[in-house]
Amino acid sequence: MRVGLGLPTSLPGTSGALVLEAAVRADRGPFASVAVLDRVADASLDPLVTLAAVAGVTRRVRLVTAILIGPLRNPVLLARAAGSLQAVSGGRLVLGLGLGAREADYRVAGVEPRGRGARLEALLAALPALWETGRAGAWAAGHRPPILVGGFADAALARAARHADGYLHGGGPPRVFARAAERARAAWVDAGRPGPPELWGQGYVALGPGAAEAGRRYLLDYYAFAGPLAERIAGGLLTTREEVRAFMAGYAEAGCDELLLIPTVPDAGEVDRLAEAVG
Amino acid sequence: MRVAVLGGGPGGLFFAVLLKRQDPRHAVTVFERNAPDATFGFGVVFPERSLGYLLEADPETHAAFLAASVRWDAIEYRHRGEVRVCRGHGFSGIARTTLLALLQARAAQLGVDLRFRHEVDDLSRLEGYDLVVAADGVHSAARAALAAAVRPEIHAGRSRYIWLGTRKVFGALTFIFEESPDGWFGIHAYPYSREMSTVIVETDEETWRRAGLDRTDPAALAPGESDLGGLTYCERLFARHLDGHRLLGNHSRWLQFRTVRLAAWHAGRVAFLGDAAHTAHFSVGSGTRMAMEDAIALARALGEHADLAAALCAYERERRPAVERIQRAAEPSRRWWEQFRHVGRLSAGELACHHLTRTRLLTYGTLRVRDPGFVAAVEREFLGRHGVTGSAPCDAPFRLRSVRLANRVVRRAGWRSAEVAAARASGAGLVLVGPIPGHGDPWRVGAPSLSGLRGFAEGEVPVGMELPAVLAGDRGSLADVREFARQAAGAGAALLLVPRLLAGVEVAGVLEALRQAWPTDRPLAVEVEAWEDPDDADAVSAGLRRLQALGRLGADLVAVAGPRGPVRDPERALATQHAASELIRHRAGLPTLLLGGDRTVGDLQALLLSGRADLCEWPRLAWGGWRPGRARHAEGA
Repeated sequence: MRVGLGLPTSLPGTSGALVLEAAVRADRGPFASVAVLDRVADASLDPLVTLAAVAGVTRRVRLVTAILIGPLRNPVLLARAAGSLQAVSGGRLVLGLGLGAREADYRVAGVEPRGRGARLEALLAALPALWETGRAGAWAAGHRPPILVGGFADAALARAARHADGYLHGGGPPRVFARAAERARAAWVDAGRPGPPELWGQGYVALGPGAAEAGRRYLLDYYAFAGPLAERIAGGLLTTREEVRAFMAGYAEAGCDELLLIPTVPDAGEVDRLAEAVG
Repeated sequence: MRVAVLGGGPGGLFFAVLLKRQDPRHAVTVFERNAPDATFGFGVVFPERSLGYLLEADPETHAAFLAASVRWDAIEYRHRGEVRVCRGHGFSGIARTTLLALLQARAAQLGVDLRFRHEVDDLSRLEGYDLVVAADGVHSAARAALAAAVRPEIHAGRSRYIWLGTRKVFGALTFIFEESPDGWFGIHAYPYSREMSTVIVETDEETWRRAGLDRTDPAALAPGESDLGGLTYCERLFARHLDGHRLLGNHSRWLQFRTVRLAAWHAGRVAFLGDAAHTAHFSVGSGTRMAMEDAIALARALGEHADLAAALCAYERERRPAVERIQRAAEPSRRWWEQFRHVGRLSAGELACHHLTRTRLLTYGTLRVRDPGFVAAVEREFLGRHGVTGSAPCDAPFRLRSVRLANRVVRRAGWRSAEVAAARASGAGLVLVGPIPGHGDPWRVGAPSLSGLRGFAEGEVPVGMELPAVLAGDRGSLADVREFARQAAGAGAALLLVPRLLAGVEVAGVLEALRQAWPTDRPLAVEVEAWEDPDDADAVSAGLRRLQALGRLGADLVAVAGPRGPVRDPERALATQHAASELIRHRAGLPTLLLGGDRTVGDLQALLLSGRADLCEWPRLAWGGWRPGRARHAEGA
């Protein structure tokens, strides 16, 4: 199982410099990727712009959107931006797409949330042709990044199986991931896919002195829209090396291919502490 | 807050536990009309994964449950002397008495006031309570009293079932089918302790009457007393599966399942929970689980909202969609026995697949991930019947008269030659050419001519043609129909399909005309719509008789159409279509082709393995790279 690092693009008190510093440290290993989220309604850095900058200061790590809210974007412009990033990063992009969990993101972007599932479906169906034909900029032709699809619903898994290369799970204890992994494998069989899905998971960490409480507060705030689920997520925060190791073992056992670990405090030292915990 | 809970079943007790645990200041009283240890019925079964999650809401209850329950992972089918076992599912069983005892103990420990042998027959006696939770079961008295406000809708199923117990300990959720001189009977059985199993026997209404099981008047039985005639009948029929053990009764009598739905789940300060608010057929095993989920949601809503009305609205808003989803999924499961009198025609493997995939909660993919060995075995059985090995069910060949289809997938195409060529290259076993929506018909009445398409139907992949409806319509003539058949045969068409025709056009006449002009070694197909209401036995019988008559006139295949136009409930439309296809196969004796519909490749495999259809249109929900015949090669299996 590979491990990726979540970049601090939405933590209170973060900065562009900190994001790039975290990426540079991650590029030294043992991380296979760096990942960014997409949050339009609140303070956070744009995912594709951030990854473009990260591409310039790193040489090895893959650049992951986990996830990018697909229905907010024009398909042609998104294909163009993602194809460009794939081109300038030397083929390091992994494009994770989903619906996003917050209606506020749609409201702020002025996009109707109704019908978003069908729009994501249309986007996923259109992207390969846009990249292959070069209609989204001829130079982007041939720069097709791998695609992951996120989401919990049966419809999300079926969509992933029809169009994506893998499934990106939204987080939770290993047994929750294991159930989702089984559903994703089943969806792949039902769609008539010959091989198994690439399975990605994620988990939140806070390792430094005093980080646990700050991390918990961040998660409660970040998931405030999700009601009682916020408590569960904050309760699952990994705050020691042992917890990180046990979590990784559980995910590896459940068949996870790449696990994204996401620091919850704006501190470049978290990257080193996590690197040491991951081993 | 002062809270009265009516009914000391699992849902009511668990709610009392959770509310008290959340805030010990609440005064919670549970009123139960029976004694603490008096309970009817034997054990209950839970899908294990959901239950562990539920009981975590109170870890103490969870620990007690784990200690007192039994767990297993298999579903077993016994039919026509054969056994099929499908693993990897995960269930827990527990005696109802044990579950209640542990919830009672936990409630008492938390300070809930438990009043047994105390029936509340008048809600107005509960004036001193801020909230009344009606958890008083499927025959809820509170629901009857507040019927005007909550508007209950109760639907009684037609099949008959009886709850029994036995000391024979089954090792799995076990389904056994046996035929008596009166008809077919089925058992759902599962262990609930190291000594006991629950046994539910089910049959259709006609069989039940033929067997004389309707002769006992349930009203003449005292509470707790059982229908001994019914019990003895079942014991004799299933004796060889019981290893010498008896069937035991406990207030056991033949019942019809009642599906309960409420327009509103609360009225004033009264909230409904569990069976009092909703039921879903027992065969999906969700009754107790839904009641427990209700309990969690209601306790949480009360914790989050200071205002009672707001809390009850939030509770209903959270739970109603989940409950309705289960109720929808349970419908085909309820109908299973009502419509499944041809059970004896199925092999053990077909029967197992048929039952496992009856609700679409378990897909072909899920079964293959959970128990690849089981799926491989039933696939071998299916493929063996068609003389092939080592491929997927949809890759089995199929023969209609002298025409051989390489696989079970049918691709439709409009009349344009490019479209037809693409369809032929797709890998489908049959291409079916028909009108292009919105482009009219190239056939002129009085002069049907295929000259522009000469030779288009020749080649390796058989091509069928749809008879242009206009030729059979009121402006066309049977002479046109015959001329079309002659020209289509000349162009190399392998099959003709008579589409759904205008009202008033006699399909039998059209079919006869086609048969006169169409080579006898090539097949004819007729398209029909699925019955609107599969529960309408008269309409179904009349439709089947009509199709049998068409079969005698030379129809070789029935194309079961998907719904026309936009569909409000696609899930139900598919279930209706599949039920019709199955009845046509088994009771009219004609092979079927499923048209339209949003299906996955997995749906297609399951439909074939369970004997619901013979051919299917290209599954719309397939991955873009999917082709019939290729999947297994890529897997190297």
